[in-house]
Amino acid sequence: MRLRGETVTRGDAPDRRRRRLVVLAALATLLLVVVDIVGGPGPGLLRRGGATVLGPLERALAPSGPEAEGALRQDRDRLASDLREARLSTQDAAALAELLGSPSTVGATVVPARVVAVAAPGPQGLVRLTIDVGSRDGVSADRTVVSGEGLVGRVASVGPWTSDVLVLGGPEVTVGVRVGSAGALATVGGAASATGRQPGELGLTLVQSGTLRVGDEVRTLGSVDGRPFVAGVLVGTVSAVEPQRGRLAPTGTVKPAVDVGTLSVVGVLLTAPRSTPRPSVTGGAS
Amino acid sequence: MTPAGVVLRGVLLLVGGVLGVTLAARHLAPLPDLVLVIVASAALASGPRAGFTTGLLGGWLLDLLPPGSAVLGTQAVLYAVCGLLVGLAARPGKAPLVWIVTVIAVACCGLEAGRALLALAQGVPVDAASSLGRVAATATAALVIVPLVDWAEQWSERRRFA
Repeated sequence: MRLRGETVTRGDAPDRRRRRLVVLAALATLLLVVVDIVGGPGPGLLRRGGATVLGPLERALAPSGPEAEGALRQDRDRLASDLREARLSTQDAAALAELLGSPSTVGATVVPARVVAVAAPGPQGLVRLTIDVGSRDGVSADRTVVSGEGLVGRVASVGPWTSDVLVLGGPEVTVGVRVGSAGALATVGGAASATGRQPGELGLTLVQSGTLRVGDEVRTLGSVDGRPFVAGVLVGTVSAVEPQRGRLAPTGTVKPAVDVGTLSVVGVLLTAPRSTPRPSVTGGAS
Repeated sequence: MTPAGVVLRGVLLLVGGVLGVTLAARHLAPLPDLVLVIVASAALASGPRAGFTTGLLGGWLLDLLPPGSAVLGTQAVLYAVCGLLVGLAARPGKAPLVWIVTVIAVACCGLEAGRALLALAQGVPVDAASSLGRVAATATAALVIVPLVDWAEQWSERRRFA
């Protein structure tokens, strides 16, 4: 009897401990969700830790690169792999040339980067991605990320070797923009969501009454010191205008200039903050 | 779950998580949810508590693996709930493969529905067609991976006691 009692006690104690650990882990998870929603300090630290530990693993598994080609040379399918890698390299080189030649990067200091990971896929599409440049490459949070076609998003957090980018169209990215040749002020993305917009489209709302036409170009308004968005980067074109139906300001949808589903090479714009005071001028009739 | 099963599923969670985010960067679609397959295999083999724990770990991995999730911990909660519910569907003894694949497909539908609700709550439009593709890909991957994991676990246990 005593022996049986001892066995039961020993068998139960680790089980209770394990159960307690699971409950504690679940409670800690829920607590962190709440802390992250209210903008507490802990989650940022965890994200940086995750980027430091797991970022290099993602960089190592990134598409293309001469090292990957070398490792595959002894394989039976060497020729097929080389051909595929060569195609990727050619595409990347073309994308890089397009990026450096695009109006968004003219005169700007650009850090070219490759997309190495995207967030766990879901029905909301691509809203976060990881690029293979980080703080050691001079990248910091709230930098503009562009591709050859236009605006991609902004840098949200930075690890030593990788950075996380919030993609335009996600819930956390709202951009101040100018629309059309008149330069009407508007917001794109975030809460500026037009009803009935399709996945891949962006919602646009003018800040006050004005004219919105299909085909109008939408460009970034720009932020102080170019962070998070530099001015004049192409966001997309107006694809539909909604009936005003009593609203003060017109709304519409924007077809983004960048197809994030095919994105491989991007650039992080490193704009320096203004360091000299702007000279004052005297106005007068010409 | 045996110690070999714990180690094996831990390694597979890491591999599945890293492959998921890096293959998606190559714009391959639809990709199976490998983490869900491993979580479900643990839940079906060892019940709700193992499913919950494996789901919590797998979800945390996805939360922390760059670029992570918008709100830290949401994937952990989603996968833990999935693991718990799949564990409740576990049958004693060897379950038929059709049952396993069906349960995993239903779990994947639930996961996609949860993510869609989160996205809609944030005002982001959802793409139902891509979700259906992911459910089909996950169920197909489960057809191959779950029996392989079970076999590897049994084989390592046999070697351990041989």
